[in-house]
Amino acid sequence: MAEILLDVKNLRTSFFTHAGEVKAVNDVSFHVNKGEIVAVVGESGCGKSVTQMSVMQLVQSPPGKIVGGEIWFENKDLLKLEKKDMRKVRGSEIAMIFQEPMTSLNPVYTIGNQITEVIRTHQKCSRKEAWDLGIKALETVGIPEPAVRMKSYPFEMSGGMRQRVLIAVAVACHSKLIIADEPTTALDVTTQAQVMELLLNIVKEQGKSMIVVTHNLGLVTRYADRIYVMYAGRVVESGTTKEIMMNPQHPYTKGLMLSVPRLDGPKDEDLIPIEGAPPSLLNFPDKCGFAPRCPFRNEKCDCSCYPPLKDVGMEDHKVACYLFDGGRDE
Amino acid sequence: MSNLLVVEHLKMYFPVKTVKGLKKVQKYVKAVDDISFEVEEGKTFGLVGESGCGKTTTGKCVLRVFDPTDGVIQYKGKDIAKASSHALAPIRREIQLIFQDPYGSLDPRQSAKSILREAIVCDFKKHTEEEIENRIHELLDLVELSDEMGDRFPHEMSGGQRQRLGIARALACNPKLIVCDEPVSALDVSIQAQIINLFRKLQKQLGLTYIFIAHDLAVVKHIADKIAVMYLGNVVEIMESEEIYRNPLHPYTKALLSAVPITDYEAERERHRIVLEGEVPSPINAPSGCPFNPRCIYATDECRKNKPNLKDYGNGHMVACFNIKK
Repeated sequence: MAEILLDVKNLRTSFFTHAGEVKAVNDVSFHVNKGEIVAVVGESGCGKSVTQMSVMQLVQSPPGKIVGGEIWFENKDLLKLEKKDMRKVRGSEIAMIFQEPMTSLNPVYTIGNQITEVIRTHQKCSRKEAWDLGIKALETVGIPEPAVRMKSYPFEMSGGMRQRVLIAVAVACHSKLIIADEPTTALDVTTQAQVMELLLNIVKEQGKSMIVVTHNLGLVTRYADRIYVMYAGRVVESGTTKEIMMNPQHPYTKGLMLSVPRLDGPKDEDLIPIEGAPPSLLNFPDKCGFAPRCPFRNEKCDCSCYPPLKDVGMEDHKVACYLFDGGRDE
Repeated sequence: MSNLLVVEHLKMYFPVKTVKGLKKVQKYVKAVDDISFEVEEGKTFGLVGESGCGKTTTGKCVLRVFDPTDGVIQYKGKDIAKASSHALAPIRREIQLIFQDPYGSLDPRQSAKSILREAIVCDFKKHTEEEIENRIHELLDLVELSDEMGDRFPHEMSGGQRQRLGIARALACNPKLIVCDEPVSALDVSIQAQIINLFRKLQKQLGLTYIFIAHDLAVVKHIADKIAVMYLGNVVEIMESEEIYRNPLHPYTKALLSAVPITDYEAERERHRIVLEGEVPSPINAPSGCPFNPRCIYATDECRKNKPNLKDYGNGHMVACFNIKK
C-alpha cells in the first residue's frame, strides 16, 4: 500500500450569497499518494477549482466558507491549523500553480524579485543566496539565460515562459505537493506539451506528488495515474486512469468521452452531445446532479437522496450512480 | 462544385515603429505573408495553427475588416480585396462572422430579440412588425432556442445558449459564407459537441459555406472538409481533412498532431511524441527561408536560404517543404 500524502475527507465548501447557499463542494473525499499524479476532471462550475482552493484555504471568505470535513496532510489536519501555521504550509509544503500565467505574476516587479520573495518567506537566507536559488529554479524549468531573465518583467515574456516561471516559483521551496489548476489551458498545444513534460519530469525526478485540475480528457489520459471526475460539486467517479478511460461506468463520464471530437474518429458522423447544461448549484437539492441530463435516469434517480460511491471492484474504481448494480457493463 | 472564395497571394503587413539607438526604424509585422487557398461552395474550410500564426488575420481580411496589403480575394468571381466600401455594402451581408467569446460579442443591455431585430432591419428595407417577429421566431428555432429565450438578456443565458444567439445573429442576414473565429473554444466539452452538431445541421439545411478558424485539431478535423495548417503567417500544408491524421507530411503538422493528447488510453500511452523545442519566433523578425526551420529537426542549408512553396503531392495535398520524398 502506497503512503498517503494528502487525504481529504468529506470536504464541504459553500458560498453564502444573497440568493442562498451555493454548495460548490459537497461531500468530496479524495487522497493523493506519495509520488503520484492525480487528476481532477470536470466542466467549469463543477467545483474542481474550489476543492483545491479549499485545500490551500484560499477561498475568499465571506462569501465562501469551508463548512465541514477534514484535510489531512502528513498527519496534521490543515483545517485545524492556526492562520500563521497555514501560511507556512502554503508555498513551502503545498505549492499551487494557477491557470492564468498573465494574472498570477505581478506586472510591476521583476521575475527575480517575485521568486526571491517566495524563497525568503520560507527559508532563512540572505538576498544573495535567494537570488542564486532563484537562478537555479529558473534553470530547472528550462528558461534560457536564467541570470538575465531574473531581471526581466512578466510582460517581456511569452505565455509559455510565464507559466515556466510560475512552475519555478512552485518548485523553488521544495514543496511535497504541487496543485496545478488548469496549468496549460491558456497555452498553445505545442507549448502545452512542453509545459506538461516539464512538470512530469520535475514530479518524477524530485519525488513530488501532483494534483492536476483540468477539463482536457486527453491531457489526463497521458499524464495522470488516477482520476476523480467531478460534477455539480460532487465526485461522481474515481479510479485509475486506465479503468476510467477504458471502462467508464457513470453516465456522465461516458457521455463526456463520447462528446469529445477525436482525431482518429470517423468523419461525417454527428457527435453525441450531453443534452442540456449543468445545473445551477444555488439551493440545489441533495440528489444526483446529473439526473436531469441523464439518458438512463429512472424514478429512483429523481426522488431519492444522493447515490453513495460504490465500489466497482477493479483497481479502486468507484462510482456514484443508482443505475450501477454491481455488475460491469461493457 | 464551384469555388465561392478564392484567395491568392494575400499579404497583410502591419507597420510598427521600433527604436534603434536614436533612430526610428519602420518595420513590419508580417501577420499574413503570401497565402493562397480556395473555399468550395457548401463546404467547410478549416484554418488551424497556434496563436499568432495569422489565422484570425486571414479571416478578418476575407471580411474586409482589415484592408490587405496585397493580394486578391475573389468572392463569387469578384475581387473584394480593394473594393470600395460602397461596392462592398451588398457583399457585407453575405459574409458574416461568429466570434469566439459569446459574452463579449453580445450587447449586455439588449435582449436576445432586440439583438436579432437589429441584424434583421439593418438592410434599410421596409419590414412590417409581423415579418420581423416571424423572422426572429424562425431564427431562434434554427439555432434550437425556445421562444421564451428571446426575452432574456445575455447574462441570463449559459455559454452554449449565448453562442447559439451569436449564430442566430449571423444567420439573420441570410449569409452565404460565415467566418467562424474559434466558435467553440470558450465552451465546455459537453456543450462543444452540441454547437459543433448545430454547425453541421445548419450547413446541410441552409447550404452555408464556413471558414472555420480554430486551434483544436480534433474539432477542425471533425467539422472541416479541407484543412490549411498555418505557421507564422504562412500556409505550410493544405489537405483533405481525412489526410491530417492518416498522412501528415509537413514536420510542423506532425509535431502539432503529436502534441495533441488523445483520449484512447492504450494508443496514447504507446504513442511516440515529438515535443518541439523553443517557441514561435516573432513575426517582426521572421527567420529567413522556411519559417519553421529554426525548430525543425530536418532543416538543411536550403531550408535556411530559400522559402519553400506549396507543392502538390497528389489528391490536392499541398505541402511547403523541401525535405519530402515523393
